[in-house]
Amino acid sequence: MAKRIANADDLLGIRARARLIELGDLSREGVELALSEHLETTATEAEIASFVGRAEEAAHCAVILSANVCTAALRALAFGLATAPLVRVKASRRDPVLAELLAGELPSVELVYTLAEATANLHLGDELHAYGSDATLSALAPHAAELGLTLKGHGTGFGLAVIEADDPVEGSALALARAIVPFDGRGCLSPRLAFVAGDAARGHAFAVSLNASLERAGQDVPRGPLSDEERAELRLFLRTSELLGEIWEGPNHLIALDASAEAVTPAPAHRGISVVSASSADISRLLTPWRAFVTAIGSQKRGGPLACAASRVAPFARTSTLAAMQRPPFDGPVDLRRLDGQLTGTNTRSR
Amino acid sequence: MNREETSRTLHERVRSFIETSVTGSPTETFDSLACAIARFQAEHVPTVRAAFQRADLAPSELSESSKIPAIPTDVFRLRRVAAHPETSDVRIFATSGTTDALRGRHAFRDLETYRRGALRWAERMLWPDVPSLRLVMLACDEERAPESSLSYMLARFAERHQNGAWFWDGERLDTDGIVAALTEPSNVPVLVLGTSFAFVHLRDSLPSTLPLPKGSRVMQTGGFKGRSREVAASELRRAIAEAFVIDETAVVAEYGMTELSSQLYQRLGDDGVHYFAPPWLRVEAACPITLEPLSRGTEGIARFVDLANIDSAVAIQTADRVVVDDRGAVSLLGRMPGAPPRGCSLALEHALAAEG
Repeated sequence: MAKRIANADDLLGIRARARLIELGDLSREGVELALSEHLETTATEAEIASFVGRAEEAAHCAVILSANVCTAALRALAFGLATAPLVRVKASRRDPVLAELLAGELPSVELVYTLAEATANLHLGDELHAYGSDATLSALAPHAAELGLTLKGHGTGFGLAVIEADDPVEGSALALARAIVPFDGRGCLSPRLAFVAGDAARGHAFAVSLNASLERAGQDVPRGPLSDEERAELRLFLRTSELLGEIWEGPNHLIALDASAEAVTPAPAHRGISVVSASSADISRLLTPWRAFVTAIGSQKRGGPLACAASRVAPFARTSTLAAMQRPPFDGPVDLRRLDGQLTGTNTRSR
Repeated sequence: MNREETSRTLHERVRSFIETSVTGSPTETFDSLACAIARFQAEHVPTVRAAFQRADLAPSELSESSKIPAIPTDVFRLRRVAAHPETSDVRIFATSGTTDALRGRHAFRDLETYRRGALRWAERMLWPDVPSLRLVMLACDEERAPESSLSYMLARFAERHQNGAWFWDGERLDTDGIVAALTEPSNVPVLVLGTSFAFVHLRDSLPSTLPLPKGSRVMQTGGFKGRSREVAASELRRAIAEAFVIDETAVVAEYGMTELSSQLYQRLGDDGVHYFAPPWLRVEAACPITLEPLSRGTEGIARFVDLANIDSAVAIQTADRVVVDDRGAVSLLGRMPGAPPRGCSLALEHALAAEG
């Protein structure tokens, strides 16, 4: 079914595209990129075994979806079905498209639109899978606890890119731009912070190159329209960043460079990225405040000193090449932090 | 004059402004003092200097406080914002947050101006009608929480009233102690002060009401900042009034933040909606997209000019949504979506969550 949705000539693919474009979160080109290149249509047997192995058995499972990533319903529903034979899914009111299309084709998935409907008839030991912000998950936790449900929450997170000292600047910038563009940077794996090894001049050179790459990428795949709230979020970030270093603001992206960071903050979504000059000795200090939120670490090659230092701070984050950050293997939920037992400020796994 | 002498002189001018403006006859204009502070900061605080450069504004040409480039609160999380070296710090206040959150820090070279302003405005807003109150604090004492600006302020209130009991030890709220303190036979009115979350927790754990003596009042501060167990402000006010068997108009909310040195309060006997700033703190709504000032009555995000922020940044841009009416009264409408959670309630809430 995923292959049908990914296919622009299939009826399901045509309907998905039409509805997602009408929704207006992504540009027409952004919708095409998401469906044709980032919807999971293949998996190896080993990945599927891992996927199923990460699920626990329950009699019933309800899945609460958010609207950030238009393709996310597929993997979330698959994980629900790996947990229980029948899944009730509460689609996001803002973006119900994939959930509705999938539920329409899958008899074991029931589509609902309220939390009360989703959790009706769930009992002690059943599972509630929730995708959304930490605030949403915190609000759900008492409800889940009251019903005796196991809450598996997938909350606020972001991707981290690292550029090692011997990585080529231009090639790395191009690969990072390709990871930033899908879903306009709204995904929990989307890179919103990049550490660049070397001095301030190399950080600057990387930001210049990334700016050029994002400009080109924006011509091919323009960013979707921003709401006033999203524009405001970007504006405050820009105002903060311009006092600390340099900024590059394009029609479709925003880069903030801090070459002498005492502390770091990830950029807002919507194709924002914070670029920070750092050495492996800086990583622990800079990344520790954010360790609970790092879902993915991307680097050009395995085993570099920055990547290793980052993985030590955020050991449950997925690791991949920069280009593959938004294409995680189909081996479990996208966000592995909570399932692998990491404790965060928000308790998202409770019984 | 060198940096320290200039700072000292500015502190003296602001203290004089505080003492005289609170009675309605300030020694100088708000704008002239704000601009003098901004010029000092442009010289000695790198982020303020950068803000002037970005605004293409020469500090020497500054004549209106509304033109001072505002420093976003997030800058306090990412850089030291101070006109003095770390060796001159007498205190650093830090934003509360969960253990892993990146905290904003506000360094002080001199706390006397802060103390003076906090007391003068509290005298006007919290105890304008009584000479003395019994203080019950649902907060951590200053020794346990040296980085809490709230604890610092409450400690100064306790000094002023020559009494005060603290019922939060950093890990749990001492409900039994609060009940014991508030059921002591006494006709002296009580002022109960604490964070919103502490009041919610107290209300949840009280077996019955705790009637307070006549003239008693409550100051609650800090919202829930997108965290769990949010309670609407009106609901919390009603719950507090019911718990202590006092009129709702005796429950006033305070608005303060680590990045500011001055506070806003609701008025005793008022509607529980509007906050009022002291004469040494100006609040404007700024357009969230352009950050330009908006006309009175229009919703925007709060921009503060706080004369007591002498050694850091006198103009601060927050992500808190507000409307400022023609009287200068401020309605708080919550945080802009996407803004990171922040606030006094968080440290307490985090610990209480850990208890469970």
